[in-house]
Amino acid sequence: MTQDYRKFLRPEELARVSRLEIRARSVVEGFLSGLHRSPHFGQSVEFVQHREYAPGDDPRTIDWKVWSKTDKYYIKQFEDDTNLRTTILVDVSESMQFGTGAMSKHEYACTVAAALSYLLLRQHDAVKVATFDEDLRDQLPWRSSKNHLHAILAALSEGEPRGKTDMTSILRRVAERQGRRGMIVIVSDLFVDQDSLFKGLRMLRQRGHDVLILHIMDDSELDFEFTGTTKFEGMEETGELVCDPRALREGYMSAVQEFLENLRRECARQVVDYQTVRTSEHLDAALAHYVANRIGVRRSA
Amino acid sequence: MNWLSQYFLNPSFVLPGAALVAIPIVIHFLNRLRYKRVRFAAMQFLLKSDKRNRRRVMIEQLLLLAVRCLMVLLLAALISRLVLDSTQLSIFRGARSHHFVILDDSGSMNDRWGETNAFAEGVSVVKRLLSEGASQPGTQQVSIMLMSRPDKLLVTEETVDESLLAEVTTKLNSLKCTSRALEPRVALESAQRLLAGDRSVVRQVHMVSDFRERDWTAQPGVVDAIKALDSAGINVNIARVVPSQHGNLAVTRLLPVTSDPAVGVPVRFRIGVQNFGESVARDVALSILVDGQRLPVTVQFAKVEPGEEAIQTQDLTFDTPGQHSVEITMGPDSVESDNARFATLDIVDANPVLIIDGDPEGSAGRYVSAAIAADPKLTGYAPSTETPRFLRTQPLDSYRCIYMLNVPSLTEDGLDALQKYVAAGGGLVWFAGDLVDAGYYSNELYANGRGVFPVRLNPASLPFESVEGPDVVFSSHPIFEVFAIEELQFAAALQVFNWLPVADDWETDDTRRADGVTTTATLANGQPFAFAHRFGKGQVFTFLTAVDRDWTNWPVGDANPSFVIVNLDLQRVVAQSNVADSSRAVGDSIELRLGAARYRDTVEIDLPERAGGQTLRMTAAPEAVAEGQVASTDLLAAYRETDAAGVYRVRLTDQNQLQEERWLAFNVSPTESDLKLADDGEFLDKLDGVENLTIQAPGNTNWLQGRDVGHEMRWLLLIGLLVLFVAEQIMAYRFSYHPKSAGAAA
Repeated sequence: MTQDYRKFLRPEELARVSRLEIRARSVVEGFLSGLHRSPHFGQSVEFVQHREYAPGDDPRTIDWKVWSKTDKYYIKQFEDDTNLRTTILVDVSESMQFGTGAMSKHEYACTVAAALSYLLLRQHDAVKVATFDEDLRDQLPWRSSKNHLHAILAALSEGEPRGKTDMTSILRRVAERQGRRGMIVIVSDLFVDQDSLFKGLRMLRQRGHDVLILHIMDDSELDFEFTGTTKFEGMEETGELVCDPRALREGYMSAVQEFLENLRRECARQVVDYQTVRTSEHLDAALAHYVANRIGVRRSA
Repeated sequence: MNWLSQYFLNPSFVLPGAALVAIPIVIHFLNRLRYKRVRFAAMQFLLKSDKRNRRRVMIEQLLLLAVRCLMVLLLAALISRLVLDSTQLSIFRGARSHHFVILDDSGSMNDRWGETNAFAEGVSVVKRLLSEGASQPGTQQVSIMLMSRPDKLLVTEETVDESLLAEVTTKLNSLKCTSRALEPRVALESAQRLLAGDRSVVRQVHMVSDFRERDWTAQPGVVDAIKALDSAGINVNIARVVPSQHGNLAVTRLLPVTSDPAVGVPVRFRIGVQNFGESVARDVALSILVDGQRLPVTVQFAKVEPGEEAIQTQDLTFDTPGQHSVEITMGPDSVESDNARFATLDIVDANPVLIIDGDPEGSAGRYVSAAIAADPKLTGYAPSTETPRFLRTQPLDSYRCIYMLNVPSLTEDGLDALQKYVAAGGGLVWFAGDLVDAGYYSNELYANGRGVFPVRLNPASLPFESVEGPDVVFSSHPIFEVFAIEELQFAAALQVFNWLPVADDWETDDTRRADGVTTTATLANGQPFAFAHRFGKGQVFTFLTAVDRDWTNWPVGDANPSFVIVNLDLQRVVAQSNVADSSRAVGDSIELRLGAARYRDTVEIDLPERAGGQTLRMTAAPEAVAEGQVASTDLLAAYRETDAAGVYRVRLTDQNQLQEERWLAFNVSPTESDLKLADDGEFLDKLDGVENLTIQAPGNTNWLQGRDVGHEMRWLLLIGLLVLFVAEQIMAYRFSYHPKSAGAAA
């Protein structure tokens, strides 16, 4: 019944929770409790080796499985990860306002960002959250204290999505400000100029940052299951179109796939971790991906 | 929009049906206007897809729209009952129609084959038409006109039902085809006039005819009449009743060559037979009947080529004076009425000829009398010589010809009487002489070309000096034929000693003068010698020499035989004919104008055997005159039913109770014997641009059948509609991009 906990991570359920903090907590707690039963032990802090228990060690670190087999007390040692500095960039441009499910892309992105922040702060990692549209809107400094979460949540809750997105300049500024190598998580629908996006990513990678893209897409954007004559009014001044959506679906799907393929290919080329996240997916998917990414980074490092 | 009625049984549904095509188009545009709004983020992909697919989507939409419109059109065609082949169309369709039937009853409709004839077939078509119309009572109106009676309809705008059918059938059964030559143009024009005020939805003129080339293709008037009907929005439907051309022989000529038949003098008849068929006719024998009695002679034609007329002559002698009839008949063939031809003659004891001799002492009158009636029993002429005074004192009507010999001048009333006589058709022969007052002739008789004398004269006669060769050069005029016979040497024997020359300034060239006067003979010196010209209905011959041995040796000496022959020929050519006009055609009316002082008002007409043979009594009535005009004292009687060929004997009674008979021969026009049928294509070519015309093939009755016409087309339309419906569904499903079923998606 490892999946039971996930019922609380459904966007439909979480959408009922108005406060972002509680939502974030629910996600992380649920996620972690799920991990407890998970066969994977990979977490944000990497396991290094076993060492024999010595008085003074935290008895919680004792590996009881080893004890059951050897009748000796061993403790698990983990790599100290307090140096990890994570910047979470949340897209709050107008296109993020779109959503046909329980949550809009913006809400989903904020929840993911909050949950991620909560998870990191729980591990005493320094977290910085920045929202952006055409420019960086709110920037908070890196903090690893748990109190920092409130500031993060406040920043995420502030304002409605508006404006366009300009990736190159934003990523350049982020790269410039983040002096130490760290991790940068971009939570966005990436409806931006791809060249400028890749340019920005390249810049981040050149400075040694690990980059994780959580590409938030609504189901209707991915599946395009509109019917009947529809007038589509574009966000971010992208025009409008009256059409029979079914007639254009094939072409649309093809364009979306092309877009996603291009993103994946380029991200892979630049060793940027990329993940498409549907707003209908459980909220822990993003976290799981983050964790998987971290393990991957460690191992590769 | 009458052209629609050529292709639809219910033409009134066509336009509203076609207008329904707008429905799918309107729905399409309404759907385009009724949309829901969605604010959408991923517009870039949608716009890209639209750019890629716009043309395809548009083509698909148009295709679907076209199929839907076509479905509506097919449905409209189905409801309006489309019939592409207009010859299949029934005339009984749609809303209230007025059928104007013209039944051809001209002579050619007597064409018979097998057990039927063209007229019977025509009557049958009319009956059928009425019968079909009666099956839809109250919706159809009919008028029926016989082509021979465009002024009087057999049925006038009656609603077709069973009672009318019964009534008209009785009338039709009693109809007989005439032998007249009739023009379809007249009937068509009459129909157009009668239909002009009709407001029926559909007006149709049905011409039931044998459709002969002579009547239809060769008559430009018919084309104009049909075009006029077409432009008036009236449909014309020609129902042919003769399936193929039949051979036909006709007696086309029975003409007495002699214009002055007298008792005991042989009368020469020219008899003609024409072959209107396509194969040679051999051994054609004609019988001759005089006054109804068959003569023991036949006129035999060994061979008559197709399209040719063969002519023979036959002399007949009549022993008693008075009216006589001659009938010539041949064996039966396709058209019976043209197998006989009739002529009538008024045989007299002798034909009176008046000779006015200006010189009572002279011998001119005797010469002429001797020439034309040396033996009156042989020539049939009774000449009498009188002085010019006779002209103003005695009636001239009874004379067949008047000779004016050496007449110095005439009194005014004498000249008036002479002019009236010639103008009414009398013959006149002038001979000059030493007493002739050239000035009077030039002024009063010539009268600037309006008189009875053809030329202006020189004041005095001149001696003619003979030269080598004939003194006179004759033209090819029929009266001078004898001079053309070289063996007889008549021209050489003729000598002229004196002649009265024409005025010096007289133009001798007939062509340049162009006054209707023909120079028929000239002297060797080129001066005119004889003239011929017409004055009114009469013929005038003029010789510029005298019947006098001092002027010429013509009446005496070696040239005398030619003088006799020329004068007898002159009687034939110049003299007023007393042979009844044989050119009367059946259908012409007999119109009698009777002087009330002389005749009583009772007129009896014995009809020919072919017309029943009974005697009709008519009463002549005073002529109706317009107000303000002086009423004539003449009585008028007219008989118009001369439909049968034969001799109509008209009997008049004078105030002394004495009866006077006039026999009138009526013959079938040879034009009705030509049975060559018109070609549909050729006729339609002439009517290029006329839409509302159909020609029904003989025996085709589809156009009369109201019920099941267009049956096949209905099925075709239904199948087409079904196919389109299936196609529309498939296309609509395909082009609306229904999501694949769950199973298929999986």
